[in-house]
Amino acid sequence: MEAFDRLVDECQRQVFTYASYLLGRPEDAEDVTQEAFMKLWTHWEELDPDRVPAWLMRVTRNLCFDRLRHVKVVREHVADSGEVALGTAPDPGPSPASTAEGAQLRERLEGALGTLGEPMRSVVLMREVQGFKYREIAEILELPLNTVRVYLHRGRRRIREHLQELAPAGLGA
Amino acid sequence: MLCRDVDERIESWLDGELPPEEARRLTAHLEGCAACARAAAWARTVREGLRGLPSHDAPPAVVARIKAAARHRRAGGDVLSGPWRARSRGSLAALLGMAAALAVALGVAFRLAPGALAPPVAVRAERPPG
Repeated sequence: MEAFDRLVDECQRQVFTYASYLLGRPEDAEDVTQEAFMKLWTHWEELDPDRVPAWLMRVTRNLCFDRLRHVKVVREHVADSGEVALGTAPDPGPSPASTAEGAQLRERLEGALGTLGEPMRSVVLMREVQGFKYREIAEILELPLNTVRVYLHRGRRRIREHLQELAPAGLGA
Repeated sequence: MLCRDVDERIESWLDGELPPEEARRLTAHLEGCAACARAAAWARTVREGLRGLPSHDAPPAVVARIKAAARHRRAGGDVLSGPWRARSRGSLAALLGMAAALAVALGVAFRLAPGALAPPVAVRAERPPG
């Protein structure tokens, strides 16, 4: 029990941050976080302790996609669904960005991140925002290491292209 | 090195993954090409911006709910085993000890006062009517 509690404390930030960026709505991210850890508890006995963090992130990702699919179906059947935001960044709360320019860049970066397809978005999110190592991302997403690197480079490039109008004048992407 | 070559290598360069010789040629190009230098600076700005995006802690109430739900399920009878057993052996032993102590206490109580554990309805049935 202590080991489980400790793991919850260690991994809750990674799980909740990832779910928040993918789902956009904090309440959805809370539900997914809880579901992911409950799945972990259910399979606690079977899992190799060294692989638990990657397993947990993989489960979180699948739960997010399940939820996004569900919301998409609901949106297709409910005309008045404007309140549902998909794949946008959560309300960030207080941020180190103190200048208006910094805040604008942050907002645009979050928007640009949301435009990337999968698994590119997850690669960029895990690497740049969450600080996972390439090897860890490869394990979570079950991708070859070099593929992770390619997705990351392309993802950064697309984000730069997306933010082109914020770039200094006379600049290519 | 041409501008096109710089564009292709800029991400690897920022990651510090370029072989030293290529990195040297790239930085030499940047020193002589204002457009590529601006592009490299912009790539760095975007990357640092991404790294500055906020991470979020789950609300404490959610963390507490997760731990409480796991405890509740555990109370339902599942016993830790497998790779986690070694880490939980101490708490499992304590739990078994408490269960044994409870069983002994109940046994003693029953021997000393056999009626004490009977349901209240039996007591009421022995009372005279009125």
